[in-house]
Amino acid sequence: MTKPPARYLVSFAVTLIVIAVLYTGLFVYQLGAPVEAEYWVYDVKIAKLFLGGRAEGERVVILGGSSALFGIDSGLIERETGMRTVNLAVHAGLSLPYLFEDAKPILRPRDIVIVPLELEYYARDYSDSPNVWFLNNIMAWDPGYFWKLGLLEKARFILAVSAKRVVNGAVAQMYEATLRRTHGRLVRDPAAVTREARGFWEAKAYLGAPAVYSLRNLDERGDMQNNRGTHYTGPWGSLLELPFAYSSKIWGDLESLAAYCRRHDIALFVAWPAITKGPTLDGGNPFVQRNSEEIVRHLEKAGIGALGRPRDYLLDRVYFFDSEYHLNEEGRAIHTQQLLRDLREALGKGR
Amino acid sequence: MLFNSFAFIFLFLPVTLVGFFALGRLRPRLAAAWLTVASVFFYGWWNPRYVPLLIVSVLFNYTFARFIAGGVARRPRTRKLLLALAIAGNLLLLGYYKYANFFLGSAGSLLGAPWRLGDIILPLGISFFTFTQISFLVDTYRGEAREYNLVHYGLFVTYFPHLIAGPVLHHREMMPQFAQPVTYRPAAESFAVGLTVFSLGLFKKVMIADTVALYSTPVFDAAAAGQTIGFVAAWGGALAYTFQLYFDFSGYSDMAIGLSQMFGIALPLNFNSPYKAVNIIDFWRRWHMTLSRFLRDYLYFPLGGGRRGSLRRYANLLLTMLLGGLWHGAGWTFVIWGGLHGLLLVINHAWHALRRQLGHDLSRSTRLGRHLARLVTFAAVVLGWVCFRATSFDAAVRILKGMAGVNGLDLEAPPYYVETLQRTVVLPVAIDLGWTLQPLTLLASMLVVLLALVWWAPNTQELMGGYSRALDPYGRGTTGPGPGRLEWRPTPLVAAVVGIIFSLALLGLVTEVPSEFLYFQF
Repeated sequence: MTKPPARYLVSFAVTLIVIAVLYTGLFVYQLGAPVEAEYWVYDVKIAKLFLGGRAEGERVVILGGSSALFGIDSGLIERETGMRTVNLAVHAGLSLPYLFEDAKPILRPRDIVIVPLELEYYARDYSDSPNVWFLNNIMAWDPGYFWKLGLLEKARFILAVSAKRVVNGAVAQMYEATLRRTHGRLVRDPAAVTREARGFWEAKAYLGAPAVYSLRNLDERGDMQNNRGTHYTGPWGSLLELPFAYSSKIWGDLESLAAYCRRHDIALFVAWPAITKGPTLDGGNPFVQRNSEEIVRHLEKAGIGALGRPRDYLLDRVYFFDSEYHLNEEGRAIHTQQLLRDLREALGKGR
Repeated sequence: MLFNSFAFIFLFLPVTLVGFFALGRLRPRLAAAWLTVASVFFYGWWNPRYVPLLIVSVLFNYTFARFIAGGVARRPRTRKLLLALAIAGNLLLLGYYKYANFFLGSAGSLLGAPWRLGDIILPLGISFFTFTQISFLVDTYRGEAREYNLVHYGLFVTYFPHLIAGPVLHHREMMPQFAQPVTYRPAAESFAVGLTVFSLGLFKKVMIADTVALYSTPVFDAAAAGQTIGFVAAWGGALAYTFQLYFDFSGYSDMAIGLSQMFGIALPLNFNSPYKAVNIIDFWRRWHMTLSRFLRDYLYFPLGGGRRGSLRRYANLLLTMLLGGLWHGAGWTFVIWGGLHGLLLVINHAWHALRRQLGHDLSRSTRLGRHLARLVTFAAVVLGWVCFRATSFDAAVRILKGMAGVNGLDLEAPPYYVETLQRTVVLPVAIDLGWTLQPLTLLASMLVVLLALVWWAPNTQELMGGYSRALDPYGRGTTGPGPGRLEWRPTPLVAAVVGIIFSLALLGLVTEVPSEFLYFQF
């Protein structure tokens, strides 16, 4: 070699470091960029946190994804139990740690927390590999979450975002004003969101059916309204019917929440989402039984109570609104009745 | 474990390198054993179930080789019998895992019986480690194998840079390197060269092959689903796959050679700008060179090669290429592809023979003639790749019909193609901002750039010039002088350029599930 190879290797290493720094800079620059995302989730989340904060007394608190957002009748629970009920469920794309961290400041001693997680939560590994929807949305409307992470978690977060998404975000950031104006991708001040929500809660002026996914359809307990009829035309089926691999983190995440609840005298129950009745779910599919038992076994091992079994939450397709997880009004009532039966039984066993 | 994964680049490789050279200071044999163990670990990362199979295969062949070498069998007939048994053992293993369902299924479909041996998972690299070991057995029988050190033999077979997708190594070029003490001493020059070649390979795989795959996959998927393929989509998909395979395999070969170079071990070249070939004979001296060499030395020559007249030679060529096609995969599309190349080779040889008879000097050609020959060869190769890539004969025919204009010469791309490309290639924000980026314009521009690269740009070994230590499997001077000012030099500026190339490839890897190399399936 005409030059010492060591200089070549040093220059190579320095280049890598410089590019890593530049890339991190680009990543930070694009945080909060108005890319395509589900901004309604942000609005609904803010409104729900406000509801959770203001509800007094002993309460039932629902945590989970959109199955619970559509499938729980909090008013019915409130009437039957005499306890204030707050539905904090928003979207199954949000990671469990994210949901829990949001909920913890709201939870109080003697609350009953019910977590009817979508079955995908048991199969996805958010902590190891956050899903694309979660990363995209958090970067778009809650970049503060990134800054709250530890150094190692920040690195993992950055490495979980594709370079294409970072470049997309950077371009969107450059054209921020245009995109916010033309596409309505607004991340409003939380006070403004709650002010708007309180306005139509008082007037009960829900937006209506065509635009279901909106803050304007959320009622004052956190349930999504205007889920009428049966509109879902996509494929049916449940993860329960498949031999799915369990997330390595789900049990740890649930145990962590259970430990928190024990320390703060909060009762925690895992419940089940609404599941469509089908020929194999009704019986015959070996995985249904096996998956259900596996989940319950893990929960029992972690000392977490389960409200009933998945088979108790099978509903006909006519009770589903616009997805295999979203119930319509009739389905919601049936689902909530079952939940109440299981809750009474669980509480009867001694809380 | 894939070369194009963070776990490999930042964990496996550094740990293996450090262990190898640290142990090499103590005892070279320990370092060789370490590299063997690391290679088996690398193999087991994919599916530990097949590690015992690999180990048993190594021990089986080593034991037979020792017997054949004369330790036990002294009579020629016994040695021949042992060789036949050992080769049969290898072929049975390969046959069971790779071809059992194919042959049973084909026979069953002829007889109307649904014959199948259940789902057999093809052990990764089985074709490669089987061929490598068959050549060792044959050479042992011929008295051409010189070394029988178990550690070196185990390393020769399992050596991770080649284990999964080649090059198909020859013991003659590898075992002597393992026996040299200098191999076990770290050398910054070797490492710098290896790192550079690896970076170029990674870039080819991640930034080019995986990107261009976005244009080819939808077309072949649509053909597999029974859709009619139009003119533009058919050519777009076929050409995109032509470049995908080129940069995937070229990238893999560069990465294998670069990795090995970091350990101070030279691997044979496997890829020498095949699309620059001016005829099919030339193509097979440039594409998967070590497989061509294996097929020539252990199949074509034993069949008689060209020694028994023209007709026999053409029959041997055809048979060799049919089996070469079948080696790539248990499917009729591979057989057709192999047969097509066999036929083209026969035509090529016959044409040369005719020209010789007419008194033509084959070494002389005009510039225009060479360009035309390259274009015709390229077109033939593209047509062949359609059969190679298509999941069924019907799907291949659908695309070939589209390319021939049977479904019309409409220059509009079908909606499924445009939609898929918009989703995968174009930035979503560009659509939000109303920027009218036409995916087909992007495709056309990309194809022109890639064609220019494969036809006129220097390849990796040419770029590395005199610094490359890659072996020349044909001994015909494939490692020529460097391309003047473009030749690689170990300067800080070149290091920065290579560092940028490496970083871009790494960024391309971020979050994406590393895609397998196409040759892994063979």
